Amino acid sequence: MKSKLSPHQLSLLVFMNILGTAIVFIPTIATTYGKENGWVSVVVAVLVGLILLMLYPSLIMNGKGNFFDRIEYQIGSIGAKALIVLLVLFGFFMTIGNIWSLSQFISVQILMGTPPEVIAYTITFVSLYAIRSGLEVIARSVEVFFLFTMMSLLLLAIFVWPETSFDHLLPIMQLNQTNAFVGAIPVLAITYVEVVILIALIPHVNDETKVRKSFLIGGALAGICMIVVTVATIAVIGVEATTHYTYSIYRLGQNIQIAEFFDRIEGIVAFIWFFTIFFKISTTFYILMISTQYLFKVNHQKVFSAPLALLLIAASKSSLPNIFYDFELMRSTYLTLSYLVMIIVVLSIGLSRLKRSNY
Amino acid sequence: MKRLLGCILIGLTLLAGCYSAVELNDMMIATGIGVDWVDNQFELTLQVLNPGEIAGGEEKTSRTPVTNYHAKGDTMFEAMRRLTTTTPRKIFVGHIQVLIFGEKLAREKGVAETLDFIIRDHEFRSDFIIAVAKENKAKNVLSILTPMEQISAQKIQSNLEASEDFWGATRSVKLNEFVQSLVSQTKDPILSNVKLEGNLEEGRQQDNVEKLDPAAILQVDKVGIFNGDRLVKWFDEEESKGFNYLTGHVHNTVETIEYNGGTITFEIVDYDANFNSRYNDDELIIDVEAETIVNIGDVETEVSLDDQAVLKEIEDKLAERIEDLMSKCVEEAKIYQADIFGFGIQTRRDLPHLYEERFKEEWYEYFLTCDVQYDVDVMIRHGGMITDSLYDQMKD
Repeated sequence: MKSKLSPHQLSLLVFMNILGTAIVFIPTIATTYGKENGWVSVVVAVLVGLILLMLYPSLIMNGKGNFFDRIEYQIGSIGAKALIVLLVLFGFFMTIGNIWSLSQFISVQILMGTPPEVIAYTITFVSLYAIRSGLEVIARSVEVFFLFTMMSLLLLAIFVWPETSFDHLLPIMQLNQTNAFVGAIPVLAITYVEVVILIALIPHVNDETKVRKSFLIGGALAGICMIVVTVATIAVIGVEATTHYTYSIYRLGQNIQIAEFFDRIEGIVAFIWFFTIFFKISTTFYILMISTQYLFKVNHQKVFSAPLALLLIAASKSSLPNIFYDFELMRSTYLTLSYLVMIIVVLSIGLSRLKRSNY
Repeated sequence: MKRLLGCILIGLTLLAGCYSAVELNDMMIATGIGVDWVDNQFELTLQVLNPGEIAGGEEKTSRTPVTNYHAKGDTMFEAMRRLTTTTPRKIFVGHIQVLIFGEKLAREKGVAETLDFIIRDHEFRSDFIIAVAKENKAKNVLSILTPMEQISAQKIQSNLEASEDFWGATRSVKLNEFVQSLVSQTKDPILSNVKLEGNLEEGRQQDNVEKLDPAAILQVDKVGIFNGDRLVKWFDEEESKGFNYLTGHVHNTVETIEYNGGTITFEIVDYDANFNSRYNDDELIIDVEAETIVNIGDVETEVSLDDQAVLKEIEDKLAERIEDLMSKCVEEAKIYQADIFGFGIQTRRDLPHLYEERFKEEWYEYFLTCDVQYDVDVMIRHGGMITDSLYDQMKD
């Protein structure tokens, strides 16, 4: 094991991986289901998500060897291969989704007129560079950019404060109660459920006793951010507008107007998204790289990195038809897929672990 | 090799901003849009800046500070693009100050079809004010040359904001608020008017701004109420004020009451109102509570202000006057079945279960029969530089 992560870095990676993509879509998804109780969906999702995060580390923690050795030890060589294939496919799908949505967002809202392909190329090649430099480099840079992300989030929350009208949140949990809980399902799918893939990083952590704590800290922090952003979006632009705008949090940023000085600075929203999604893409890409290395039994780790990058770009360009498909995807195919993968991973490893401990 | 790579990297970072750059000279900055309904088509009027006339300190020519362009189309987007057949450069709409609907469009066609494009297009920002050209075309309103403010779109915008802040009979409704009212199931939108006073033909000439007393001016003085996306009624000034009193949008205004055969005029300096719903004996009741702090601004009657009992009486009279304005406005809105106040939204918040079960389907019936009760609390703070009025001494 060459690459090492500190528990602190792991929690930041968890934070970034939960917020990536999700932070932009969550207000819209949650309010579509729960209307003015959309924020309740997010709260529920965070609570359930934290339980999931408690669960994930115990699948892999305190074993011997790397991630793949541990899985093989648990469920046998063939089972492990099948599981990794599943994880690779899921990770691949997740990454092309992320690259696609980031490139669409940037070309629609920030750099108008820039072809989305250019942005897809840029972000994929930068991640390629990042993962070829190794996990440590990603981990160190996440420490730097975490500050940026948090500051942007804080600024956003503070700046929109004068515009909030909490009447938009009323009545609290009187109508649509069921939908508020139903809304938690898709919210979970694009946040806590899909980070199951991060268990592959656990063997890299230098102090494995603290892994669960790192997962929880990262998850809780991300949860707070999501709740704050959702409440702010509903309180500032209202339920109707939140459900109608593709990027409602960007719309929230456009509302910032303080003393005719802090004006038109919605770019900070783009900062938040860009940083979180970059680390999400890089982490998943890294896991894809070491998984393919394991599957094809090659000695050199970086062999598949460049071909994978090209595949990712091509797939992100051709797999999704148009921007209107995003939400449908998140509500149907992707939702099913991420829950399925999570359940299979948890059950297959978890059950075999339980069995072993019983004998 | 490394050096080459370095050069490329530096080039990439420094030149990245040049991609899809547009020089300021190559675009036209639009300040106002007018939309009319002419021969079953949308007619767009776009007001653009003549940068040389606005910015230049040195050589000003006799050219007007703004220029209007017109185009027709079956949809907004089409009309917008057709404008390029007359405009010399590409139009930039990010600095739009006002969007003005012609009255015909607002009354007969409805404004809904104009909005999707404006919300969808990324160049439009949502911080402009929307208004209706009263009894006129938006085209004409935007073609008046206005003194003081060179750009008439700018003049309309600051005019609306100032009159909302200091007179209280208009509201500067921005895109977000308007759309939220339109899409809401129960609430109906309102918009302020822009009225052309005087002679249109003379108002279009440069002479108009060279006169001490311009031949044509633009005025904003009342609000129009919508049912759905159609304008149905212009409130008069009192009803417009009543609307702002009820919804708590009065910031500062003056109000006159009759007292003792003369008048007393107050300056309302601090005003706050809100309303809540309750359901009592099969009747929906809306409680409107308002609190205001006023100063006495003008006394034209015999009154002794030293007497607290008299002050109390005056306070009550003013409260009655404000209630009167509000109830006039509510009665009028009921006639046109337009829930412009958001009673429906508030009822959903206050009585969520009743609303879902009973009111939701036939909200307008409940809106028409609901009993609105007013409770206005007036507090007189001070009375300017003098205590008792000099009125009786002067009249003697």
